[in-house]
Amino acid sequence: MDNRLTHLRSERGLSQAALAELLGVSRQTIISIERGRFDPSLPLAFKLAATFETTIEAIFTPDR
Amino acid sequence: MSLILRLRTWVPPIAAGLVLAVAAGAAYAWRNPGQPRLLSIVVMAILTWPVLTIALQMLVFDRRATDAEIDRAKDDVERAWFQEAGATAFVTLIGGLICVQALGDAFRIPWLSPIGLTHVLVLGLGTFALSYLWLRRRGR
Repeated sequence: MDNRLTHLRSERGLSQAALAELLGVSRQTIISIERGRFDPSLPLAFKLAATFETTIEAIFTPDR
Repeated sequence: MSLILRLRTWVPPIAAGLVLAVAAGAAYAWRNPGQPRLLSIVVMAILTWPVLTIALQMLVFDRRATDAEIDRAKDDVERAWFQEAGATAFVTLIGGLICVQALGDAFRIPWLSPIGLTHVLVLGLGTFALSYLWLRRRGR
């Protein structure tokens, strides 16, 4: 699944570690999501959307 | 939580662990009457006490902390790796043990057949460890 997480995170000046801390997950989880190697659970996707004040669809795009 | 308070939470599992460890030693001595009784109890108790203490603390006395830790990690990628590695190890273990037994029988290799606990541990833990490391490397 493609995502705009790196872009959104950089826009807000957040490090991977800081975002991980905010979401209560490991830094490795953020790295894996950004690289598209791990699809987050629905609760985590909602947390991400809430953190960046946007919708899940605005962050993630399903593979076609 | 201060160090003293944290240490105090370990007193009940240490005490309960000691009682269970001595009971395990007594059971071992009872099942093995040919062995020196006191020595059997002491050695068995020393070997099982730390494991029992940690297990009691995690599963009984501090269950809420264990559950909270498990709950906190539910969205982590490491948990997904762990589950995938576990599934791979399980399937490999079943197929691998059948192959080990068949090879041991076919070529009359005594250390392959009959399969035992060592085969299960080496194959199961080995596959799990390799699978987890591979997933971790791929995820980076």
